[in-house]
Formats: sequence, structure tokens, C-alpha cells
Amino acid sequence: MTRNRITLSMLLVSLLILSFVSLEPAGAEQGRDPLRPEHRSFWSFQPIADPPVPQVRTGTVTPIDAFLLARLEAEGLTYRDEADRRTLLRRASYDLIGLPPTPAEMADFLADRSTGAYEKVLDRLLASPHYGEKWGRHWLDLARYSDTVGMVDAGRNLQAWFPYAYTYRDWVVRALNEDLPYDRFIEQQLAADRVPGNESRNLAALGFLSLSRGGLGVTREEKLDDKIDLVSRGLLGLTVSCARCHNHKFDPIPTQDYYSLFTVFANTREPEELPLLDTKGGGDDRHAKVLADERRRVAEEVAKLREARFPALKALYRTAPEIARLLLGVGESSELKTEAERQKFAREKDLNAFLLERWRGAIKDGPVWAIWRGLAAIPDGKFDATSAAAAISAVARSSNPRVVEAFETRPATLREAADIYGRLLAAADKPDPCADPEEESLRQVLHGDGAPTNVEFKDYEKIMLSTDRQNEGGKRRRLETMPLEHAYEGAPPRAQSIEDLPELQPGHVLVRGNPNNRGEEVKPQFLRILSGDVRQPFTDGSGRLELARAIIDPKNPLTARVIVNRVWQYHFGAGIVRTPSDFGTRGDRPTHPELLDHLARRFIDGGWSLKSLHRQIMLTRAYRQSSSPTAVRVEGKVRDAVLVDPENRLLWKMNRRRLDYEELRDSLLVAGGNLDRRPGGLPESAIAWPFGLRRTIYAFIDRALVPNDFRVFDFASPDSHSPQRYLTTVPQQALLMMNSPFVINQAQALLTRPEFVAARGSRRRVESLYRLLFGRLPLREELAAALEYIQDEMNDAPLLTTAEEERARSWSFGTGDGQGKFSAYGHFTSGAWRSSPMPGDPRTPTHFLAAQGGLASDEKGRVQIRRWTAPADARINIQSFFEQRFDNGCRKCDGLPARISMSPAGDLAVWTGKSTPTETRIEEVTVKRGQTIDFIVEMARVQEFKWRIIIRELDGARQEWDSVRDFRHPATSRLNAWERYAQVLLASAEFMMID
Amino acid sequence: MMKRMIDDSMTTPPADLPDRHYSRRDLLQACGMGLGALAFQTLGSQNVTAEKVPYVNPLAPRVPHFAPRAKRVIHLFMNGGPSQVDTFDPKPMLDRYDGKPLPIHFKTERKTGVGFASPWKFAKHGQSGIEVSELYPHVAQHVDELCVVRSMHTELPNHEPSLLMMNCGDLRQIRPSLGSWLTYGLGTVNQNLPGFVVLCPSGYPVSGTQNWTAGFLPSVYQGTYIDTKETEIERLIEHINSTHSSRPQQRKQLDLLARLNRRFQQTRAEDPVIEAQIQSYELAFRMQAEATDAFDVSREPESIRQMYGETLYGRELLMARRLLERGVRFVQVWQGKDQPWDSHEYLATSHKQLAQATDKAIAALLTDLRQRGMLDDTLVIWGGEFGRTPVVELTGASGGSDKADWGRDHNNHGFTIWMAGGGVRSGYVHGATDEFGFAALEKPVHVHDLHATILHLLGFDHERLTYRYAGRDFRLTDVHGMLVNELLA
Repeated sequence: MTRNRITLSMLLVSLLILSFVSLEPAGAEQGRDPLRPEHRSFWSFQPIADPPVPQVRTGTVTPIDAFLLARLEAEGLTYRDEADRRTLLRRASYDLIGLPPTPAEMADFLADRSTGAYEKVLDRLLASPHYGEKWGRHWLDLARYSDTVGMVDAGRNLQAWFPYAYTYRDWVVRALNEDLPYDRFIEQQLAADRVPGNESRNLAALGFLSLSRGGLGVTREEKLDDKIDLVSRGLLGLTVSCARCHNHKFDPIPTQDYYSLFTVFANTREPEELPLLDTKGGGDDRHAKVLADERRRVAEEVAKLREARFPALKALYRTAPEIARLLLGVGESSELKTEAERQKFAREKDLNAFLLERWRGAIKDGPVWAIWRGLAAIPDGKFDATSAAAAISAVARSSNPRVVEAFETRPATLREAADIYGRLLAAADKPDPCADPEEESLRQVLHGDGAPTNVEFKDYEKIMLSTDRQNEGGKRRRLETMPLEHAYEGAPPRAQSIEDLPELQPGHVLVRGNPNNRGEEVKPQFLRILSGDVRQPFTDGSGRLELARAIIDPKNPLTARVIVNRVWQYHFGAGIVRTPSDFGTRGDRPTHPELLDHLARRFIDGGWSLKSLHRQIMLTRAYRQSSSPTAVRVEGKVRDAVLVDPENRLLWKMNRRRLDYEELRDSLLVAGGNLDRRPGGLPESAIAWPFGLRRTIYAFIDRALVPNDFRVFDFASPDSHSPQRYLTTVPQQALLMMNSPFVINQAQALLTRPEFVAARGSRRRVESLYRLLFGRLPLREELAAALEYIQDEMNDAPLLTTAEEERARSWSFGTGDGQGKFSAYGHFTSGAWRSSPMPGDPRTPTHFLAAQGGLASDEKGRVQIRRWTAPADARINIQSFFEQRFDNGCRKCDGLPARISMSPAGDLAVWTGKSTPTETRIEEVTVKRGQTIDFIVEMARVQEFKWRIIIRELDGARQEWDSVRDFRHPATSRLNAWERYAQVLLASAEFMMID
Repeated sequence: MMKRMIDDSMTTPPADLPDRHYSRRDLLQACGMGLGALAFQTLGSQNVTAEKVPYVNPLAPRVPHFAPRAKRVIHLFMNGGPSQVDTFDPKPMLDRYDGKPLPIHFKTERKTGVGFASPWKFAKHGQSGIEVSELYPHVAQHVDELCVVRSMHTELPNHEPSLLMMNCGDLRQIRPSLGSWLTYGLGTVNQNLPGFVVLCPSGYPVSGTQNWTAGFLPSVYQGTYIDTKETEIERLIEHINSTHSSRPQQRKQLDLLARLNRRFQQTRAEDPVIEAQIQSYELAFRMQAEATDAFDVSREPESIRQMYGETLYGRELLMARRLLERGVRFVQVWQGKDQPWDSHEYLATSHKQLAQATDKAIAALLTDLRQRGMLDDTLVIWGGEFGRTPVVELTGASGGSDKADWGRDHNNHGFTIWMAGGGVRSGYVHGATDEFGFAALEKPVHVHDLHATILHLLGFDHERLTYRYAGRDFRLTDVHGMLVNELLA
């Protein structure tokens, strides 16, 4: 019955949607009131009710269970049995802290037969500092967290990073751990700078708004749109961004509402200096002073540059072609009435809009311009030499005679007329006044007070060229990276905050979303559908605090529903509303509307406590039931729940799920006994070697380059709000589990844990691994499989021989000063040795050494070194093949200095690398054990190169070293049978799945 | 098993995509949903949407809206913007205006000056008599297979937005790329290889991974970037090689893993994810071998390698063909990192170098596809993100007294692309620019229209290939795009 009802009501709703879709003629939405009666009565806009808890047959249960069971019982279904205790602990542990239970925690729980054992577990988990790390990451998905802004220079592969994004992440973790009420949590993230009496540490919360994607090609409007999307979908479950170009097609969001929010955020900016979080600590004198000095220096340099450039820039606009172009532009745009239209025209014609307006004013009167005015008045299509002649002679007497002379050749087009003026005026461009008054009046056109080309210095920015802008940008570049360097050097934390503009700007609708097409004025104010009858514009600064308070108003029907639904989704795998960021007419309807209201009501009344919400949910029988869907018997009838409710919308069992990427990586670290549990601080690479050992929430997130490992396990896109993770199963995940050095490292580390080391005999060892990983003993069958495998594996030859491993160890990689100093690269990632674990690090030049060659960068006086160290005394020869990479269309690219140098003898060979290969042979060299041969590239410029080196031993074992073949990930080592076995356990479905 | 699945589902009669996103068989065999058991019998009425159901094996092959003309695409991306008036759009008027101001002007990115006649001659080729410049002697021999669109236009004369427009149908915002849409719509027929592969030597083109992003689609639909200057497979596909275990050792590991997982599955038989995991390891194991094979062009016969030429680009195209042949759905081949075709200066030398580096290999690709019977259902697309101005640019060395230094600025107002194979009208020229080649004049084709047409060739109504995200059904062409019927065979 219920099922039929769902279907029927869904059908009705879709018919409703269809009906107003089809009734709406295209383009008719402008001006029509988008708020219609059916919207006002739409479920999600109704006040949150307090529905009575239904009576159910199944004895005493929690209110949540009563709502769920009422629906189940109506279908002749009920819950599955309670999950076994091992499953329950593992589920609760992953759900609340994202980590598996320790063997001791498992043993304790299994042994604790008291009635409150499970409640105690929940208390412990909710009090754990790891709780904020798990749920903070959920929040960061919604808040599209990233440590980087985006690409700022594609040619140089240059990124911009946020210096202090991490302080926002840490604020979120801490707020959740402290169970900051959700309404306060929101208020801080929208308006921490405006909350009266706020602690300075809360300014970090503003990262919510400031960490938008930026960089190349991202306009101001898009950044604002991102904030609107974040706030509306993230906090309200409304897709307000759909109303950017026109009224929302389906939901009651007029485009004016979009621009009301737009106006709020448009009146904010990033402060020039990010505020310190801890103002009591006395601040940060050292870094702050360096930064202030640099700012002053740059300001002085730019001022000097402008002064020097100004005369030349003005002179450019006094040249004939420029005068002619602008004059013609004035003529062609004479019909355009508004300045906005003319600006658009100027953009399209590539004209300086500021000067265009000045020229427009200049030609209005005076004898110099009489002919121009006459010619410009000739109607379109009538212009020819004859009509021009007539127009000229009509005004010749009142004209400047020099102009009349110049127009003796009759122009055939207005363009030709503009050219004549251009040449005439440019010829009169003299530094000093002329004696001849007619000549002087021409000169005055360019040099007189208020002449269009006599621009004042204060207007420099209005006439500067894009190349001037680039030049200034070059001077500021250092200033841009300096705060970042300071942050990563450990300067005291600052907030990635925003502030209101000192002078507020009025808001406008941008017609069809076009920033150049301003429409009606709008006030900063809240959404109409959520504002009741009287809507007051915001008056406090940009209005962010008022916006926050409108969102968290207990009467707001959406905010509480949206967050309790999200929490529900993260616990059960699907929300009561299965479109968690769309509670509009196009979203799904709640499966249990009364339950949703019950949860939201209790949430608000109980003080917006997320921890108490978790507790309520996790104490239910619904949450505690098994995830296995065997048929159940209700009142003597066997019903196959799978057939009745295949999607498990009614929750007749718990949903099983795969670990997400963070849970997987953290669990691997736990398995290896390696997890570093320190909270907070600067991000670290989760991928590079030496492997970061901290929880994955502290990983460096680069929105331009989400690493393969994150991507294949469906990490949330850091570019925009992400309401739910996908949980795909693809072979790239298997490749990672099979071949990633990180995974293998953890498998090896697992065998160094005391529990395994202490176990005697194969059987005990297998048992210890099962206890460590799964909290249980192996089944007979599993034990047998393990022992067979170990026995069989022992006989296999390893992939690498000892000699191969040793050969790999003969090579090292680094940089130097070219005088013998060598400092090894500290990091290995993406198949190469590097100076930073993050490729694209704006603080360090990008150079690396990889198997087949490397990339040099532009660092005067520095060299890159691939070093070979003799493992024993030997006589050797060396063969080297060096070439620059082929570069498309590159001229002047040849010439990368390279050499082979031996300690202490000196250079064995020196050459300049070209794009045609250079082969070098060194016939015989005698080396002592520990002596080094360096293969050196000078960092003359950014240039890739290939370099293969073969070193042959001339006597004895006649070993051969090959720089390409010997190149390995530094974490590579031979595995024994037990390590391989441990790796299988880490890759197993039991490790990967939560029942 | 995987083979059978492919064949079966590919013969399913065409149906509306959203309703048939997954066939029942796909789900049963390639595994189902991440959240609980899903009723296969109700799938017929399900819309799979971004905010609703996370799912498993999103790459299973699927049928499009109607019978496709092309089954796969190779996009030869001439990044930086090749000049139309020097390649496929002859303009004799420009010769007359060489060095003189043109009577027309459109906004360019930088300052431009007088007319700049092409340094190259054009000649008619083939039965169709389509004119091609002497920059492409080899491609010219295939002119009767080409469908040349001379009236392309786009919004802006800047690389970044125009690249995103050409690839993702939007100037700025992160939107799924064409290849991602196609992989989402069609899945992939070879589960051992990625469905959407991007080839570019030595680094990324401008705008990097945004050019092949999956946007809001699941990340499995994102293009897999391959640095074609690399010859080592490990740098081509991450974690593809085992550096710790030999293949027999790994086989034993996977046998044990399967045994343990089967035991685990016994009490969870209904859950398709467990089966999917078991299969994913087998696929990965096969992928290690197959991917190595697919990318190893040295396995081609000598004659084929000779035909493509022993150049970086020849190797790139040969790799692309090997991938297409193995069932990869969409291969995008970039000529080089950054923007090689961006000839603001020295156009006479740089365009020549660039054309020479590719001409023979492109012709070889067309010949090779034809010989293998693949050209009819492989859509080949050649073109850049925009074209170049018929007038000289006035920055840097360009515009001075020595014409060898001259270059052309970006031009979004008019440019040329061509297509071949895959159901396009061959030996045909569509549309025209003005007499100087500055702006599209006759039958203008916007990038959105091109996208609509490409999707049509692949069997999709561009208005119906949608994805629900943030409350809206998005499509590649957004609210634009008109199918250009004249381009169809």
C-alpha cells in the first residue's frame, strides 16, 4: 500500500512539475512573479512540525524507530536483527571517528556485557579528538576546501596557494569537537568578523567564504556565484545559482533574490593583510616586518615605473593611428546613448573607453572640429567623396584653415577622414607652443588644458596598456608569494578572512548574468520565499551577519532539515531526502517527512547539538541492525524485503559501504602501526615519499592537481560544493592496492608490530594478523588458505635480486653549487626526485630528476646532480647519451650546459646539450670505494632533458649500472611471503567494507 | 565474462539514455549500486542523478539515444590556434591587401595592423577540388574524405576561455568535457583501459586538466592524461607496474585474495559491490598486460611506423590508433604542451614547422584507419581553440620591416576545423568567412553547434544527454547548440 502511495504521489508531483514547465513559454519568466501558491505550499517551505510519535507493534523503541517501524510495519516488514557486536563497534567507530577500533577496544567491548556498554562506546567516540577530524572532512566536502587557489600562470605551470587555508580546516575540526551549536557554527563561518565580542580565533571560520577557486580565467562574478552556491545549496538545500541569468525555472527564486545575495558578497573583499588568530601572543614581528618592507619597496618601484612610463604612454595616444582610431570610434558610437553601451562598444573595438569619452567631449565644438562634425553628420550609406565635399564646403568658412587645407583631398569614408585628422594633429604634436595661431590651435587639441590626450597622472591606470599591467605584476609577484613562504615557514597562524568594503556599493541585477548589463537595483536581503511577509533589507555592513541570522533563525524551515538530513545520510548512506543539497521542487521528496521534522524539531529545541543528534541516531535499532538482507518473518508470513523495497528506502536493514579514501588511507596507516595522530597545522603531502603519516584530512589539497590516488577513490572535487561522495569500484583502485609503494610499505610495517613479532609459528602469526586487522580469529578455511599460500610462496624467486637492489642504491639525486657541494633531493613523487613534495609549489622553482632525465629550472649558479657512488674499488667505463627534449616551435632553445665530474679529479667531460643527442664515452676510469661521479646539468633555464648513463665494470663481476633501468621508487624493496600475504589482507573486501 | 557482457549490451536496441543508463544485465554482471541492494526490475523507471545514487562500474558500455554513425572519436587538438588563412581557408583578396589596412576590423587580443597575405600557396586537390595550402601536402591527398568547416566562431580571443569552450562548452566554469560526456553516455568497451585518454607530450596544454575534466560528473569519466614523451608505462598510468612482485607472484596473491573475498561474499551474496571488487582485481591484473601492449608502439610493423614517421607526433598518433582499436572511446591528441600554434611572431617559420611535424602522421592516420575499416565509424576532428587574424600583429618582433618576423594574433571571429570519417559528409566545404578570412560570414557554426553535431554522430540528441547536478539538468551545449545537418553524410 505504502509503496503504491509513494508511486502515486511521485507521479502527481512530476505531473505538477511537468504542468508548470510546459505552461511556461520560453523567455516569459522575466517580470512574472515566480512565487506561486503551489510554491508556498511546497513541503520544504512549510514550518517544521512536531509530529506525534506513532504507535508501533514492536514494543518500546526510540521515537526515531517508531517513525521508521510505522512505515515498515505497514509494508509487512521489520528490522533485521541487531548486528553482532564486532560489526557494531567497527561501524560506530568508522562512522564517528573514521578509524577502525583498536584490538584492545574490540576486546573491551566484546567483554563488556553490561547494559550500557554500547552507550559507553558512543560516549568515548564522541569525546575523541578524532571525531572532529572525521566530521570536519564531511564539512570540508561541502565547503569545497582546498589549499590552493588555482593556476595563475599556465605557461610556467604556476599555482597560487592560500597561505592559511589550514586554519579554516582546523577551526572546523575544533568547532565540531567542542560541539559548537550548529547555528553558531554557521554564524561564525558567514560573519565571524561581525559577531559582537567574538574571539579572534574564530576569524578562521571565514575560510568558508574565502577559499573559492580563483586564478586564471575565474572572474569576480564566478567567485561570487561560488559563494552563493555554497551558502544556498550547502546551508539551505536551495539551488539559488540557477537564478543567475533568469528566475529559477522550478523553484521560487527570482533572479532579484540571486542578486540580493550577490550584493552581500560583492560588498566584501579579502583584507590586504590577513589577521592574526592569536592576538594575545604579541603578534609576529619578524615576518610582519619583512612583509611591510617589501610592500613599501614595491610601492616605491611601481610609482617610479609609472612616472617614467607616463610621458611615453601619453605620447602613444598622440600618434596618428591612435588619434584616428579613437576619432573613428567616436563617430561610430555616436548613436549610443549610455556610457555602458559605449563601454561595450569600446571593448569590442579594442578602444580605450576612458579616452573615447574624452574625445567625444573634445569634438563637440571649436573650428578645428567643424569639418569632422559635418562629415560625421552624413547619414550611413550616403558617405562618398561628393557628399563629403558638400559637407566640407558648407563649414569651410568657420573652420580652422589648416584643417580645410588637409581636407583638400576629399575623404571617401569616415575612416579616411579620421586618418586625415590623425595625420594633421600628429604633425602638430610639438613640445613648445607655435607662433602660428592656427597651428597652435591644432597643438592645443592635444596639449591644451583638458585636452583628451592631456591625461593627468592620477588617471594613469585608466590609460595603461596590458603590457604595463604585466610589468607591474612582475614587480608584485614576490609580494604575492611572501605571505605564503612565511606561512609555510611556520609564521603564527592567520585567518583566511574576508571583510566588508569600507564604502558599500549598491547592487544591481545583471541582466542574463552579463556583468556588463546592469538592470534594476536590488537591496542586500534574504530570499523572499523564506522571509515571511515583511522583508527588511540588511543594514549592517555587507549584511553577512543578518544573512547568517536569517539562515539560522529557528523559524527558517530549511536550515535544520538540511543539516539533520546530511547527518542522517552520512550515517545511513542515504538521506531521508536523497538529494541532500536540493530541497526544491526538483529534488527528491523525503521518504519519512514526519521523521525529518521530528529530528529537525528536536535538533533546534535541544540547542543545535550535532553530537546529541549522532547519539539519537546511533542509539536506534535502525542503526544497530545487521546489513545482511535475508528474508524476514513477520507474524508468520515470510516477506522478501528486497522485492518490496529494493532500494532500502524504508531501512529494513543497515546499508553496507566501502571505505572512502580518507578512511582507507588512515586505516592502512593504523594497520602499519604508523598513524601519526597529532592534530592540525600545515598540510603535508599524502602521496610523496617520505610518506606523510598524518591523517588524510591534513593532506595538502591542490585543486588543480588532485592526485591519482585521491581521484580513483572518488575524493570530493575541491572546485565546488560536493554533497555526497561517489562510491565507485574501478580497476584503478585495485592497481593502487596491488602496486602502490605506500600500501606495500604499510603491509611491511604491519609485520613489525609487536603482536605479530611475538607470535610463534605460522598459525599464531596468521591469528595475530586477523586480530589486528579484523578483531577476530581466522576461520579454519581462512587459516588453511593462509598457510598454503605462505608455504607455496616461499619457493618463488623475488622480483628483484640483491644485486639489483644494490645497484639502485648506487645512485643518488640532488642539487649543488657546481663546486662539489651536494644536497640530496628530499622528496620523491610522481616518478621523480624533487625539492618539494608538492609539484607546482610556488615557493620553489620546479626542477626534478626522473628515470629518463629531468627538468632543469632557472637558478643561476645552481646545478642538478645525478650522483653515482662506487660500491667498491673498480675500473670502469662510462657511456652517456644526453639530449634536450624536443620543443614545439621553440627557437633559441639549444644550449643546456652539462658535464661529468669525478671527485676529486674534476671534470671528465663537458659539453653543451642540444636537441640533437650528445653521446659521450669515457673509456677508462679507476675509482675507489665511496668515490663519486656526478652527472651535472647547469640550471641555466627551464628545460627538460633526457639523460641515460651506463657505467660498466671492466673486471671482476663486470657489473653494469644503467641510470634508467636502476631507477626506482625509494620505498621499493623485496617482499617476503609474509609481507605479500599481509598485503592481500589489506586489499581484502573485509578490510575495505563496513557491514 | 566481460567480453560477453560487452557484446550483449551493445546489441540492445537503442533507447533513451536516462531511462536506460544501466541495462539490467550491466548491473547484474558488472555490478550494482553502492547503497544496499537495488531492484533490477525497477531500474527502468530510475533516473541516475548526481545527488542521488552513487554507483558501481560506471564504465559499463551503454547504448545511446539512436543508432550512432561513429563509435569513437579522435580529436587532433592544434592548441594555440592555427591560422585558417594559411591552412584550409584560401583568401586571394588578402594578397591584394598585403601590407595595406583592411577595410574591416574586429577586436583582437593585442594590437594588430595591416593585412598579412599568407606566405603559402593554395591549390585544389582531389575530386572535390577543395583548396589546401602547401603546408599540408600529405593531408591534401585525403581532401576528398574531409568535411571542412570554414565558418567556425567562438566568443573570446583568449586561450583559456576558448580552450574551455572547445572542450567543455563553457568559457569559464568547470564543466564536464566532451570526452567525459561521451564516456558517461557510452561507457567503454574495453574495461582494461581507460575510456577517455588524453595524449600530450612533455606536459599539459594551457588550462591543464580543466580541458579534460569530468566537472560534476563522477571522476571516473575524467580523461586519463598520458605524457607521450614518456616511454615507460609506469609514468603513463599510475601504479600500472608492480615493482615489488613478479607476475606469477601477483597471480598467487590475487588467487588468495579471491578465495578470501569469495568466503566473505558467502554471507553477503546479494551485494554487487563485493563481486565488483573481486572483478576489479582481475581487471587490474589484465590491465597491467593490456595497457603495456596498447601503449607500446614498437609492436607495430616497421611499415606502419614508417608511414606515421619516426617523430614524436607520429608516435603519438600511432599510440592513439592502438588505443582506438582496443576500444577506447575518446582519444584527444594535443600537439604539444602549452600552446605550440600560438604564432604571434615568426609565423612563416613556426607554422611551417608545426605543420611539417604533423602533416605526414595525420595523413597516415587517415590511411591507416581506412585500411583497417575503422574510418567509417571513427570520427576524426582537426582544429584549434580558435584561428588567427588575417592582419599582422603589432607586438614583439612582429610588424616590423622583416616579414619573416611577422605573426598573427588570436581570432575568435572566424576559423576552420575539419572532420573526417564517422558519418560526416566527405569532400565538402561548409560555410565561409569574409573575403579576408576575418569573421565567419556564411553559415556560421558556433562551437556549441559543433558539439551538438558531434554528439549526434555518436548517437545522442544533445538536448537529452543530461546530468542532474545542483538542481538542474546540465548538458554539454547548455542552452545552446544547433545540429548542423549539412555536415552529416
